[in-house]
Amino acid sequence: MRPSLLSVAAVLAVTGTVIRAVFFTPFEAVQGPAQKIFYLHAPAAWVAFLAFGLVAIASVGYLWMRDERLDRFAESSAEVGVVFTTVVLITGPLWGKPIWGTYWTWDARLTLTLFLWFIYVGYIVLRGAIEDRSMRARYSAVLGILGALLIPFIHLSVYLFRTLHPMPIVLKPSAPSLPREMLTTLLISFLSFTLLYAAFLRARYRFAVERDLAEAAADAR
Amino acid sequence: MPDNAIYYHVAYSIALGIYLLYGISLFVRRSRLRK
Repeated sequence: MRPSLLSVAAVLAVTGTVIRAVFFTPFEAVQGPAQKIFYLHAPAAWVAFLAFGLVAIASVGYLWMRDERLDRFAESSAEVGVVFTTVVLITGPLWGKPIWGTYWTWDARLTLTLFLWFIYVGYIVLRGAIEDRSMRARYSAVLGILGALLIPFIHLSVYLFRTLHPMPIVLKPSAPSLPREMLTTLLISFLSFTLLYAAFLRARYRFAVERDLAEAAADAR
Repeated sequence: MPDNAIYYHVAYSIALGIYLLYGISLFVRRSRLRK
């Protein structure tokens, strides 16, 4: 099985981003080296939101058109989204410990992100528990849509609740508040991890197609 | 500047390890299906 052009591009982009973040981006004066976790943490959060947002859109499409391709897309995007959310939930505490003095606090953004992870892990478990294909697609589409409703609350949680988590420094109405070198590294990392999401999604979708074909062939025998 | 590089090394190792393992798992699952 040859790797796709997209996979190769994603691996090269992520490798280049990590090299730039580690060796060619300055340390932040107050937070020190731990601040570099930012270049993994924030893009992983963005990709997780993108992945679950697309799950919701594909799920609405499935409920409307009953097209199995949309169900497979939602299934694939949800699994990849869980991977990225896992990275968010691991890198966040590792950044929080040296800066806040604690790995975890039950504030709104952290707690809601954990709930988001639970919902989509539940989504994957639900899919595994239902054998009937159309019932599985329908039930998981509803859960996929409801889960994504958390995303705006998570993004706005720093405005809505008192939280330790800092305010957005890039995705906000005014100009980004980062030095140019750090902002460039951050934007590159957003692009490269989005590319990695696309490569994972494509491979996971292809797996779903081949699995369904194999199941259909087994049923026909 | 605070000396907290260990957290960033651990975070990068775990995060990149997760991505690598997931990539391998996709490859293995597709390969198994084709056997």
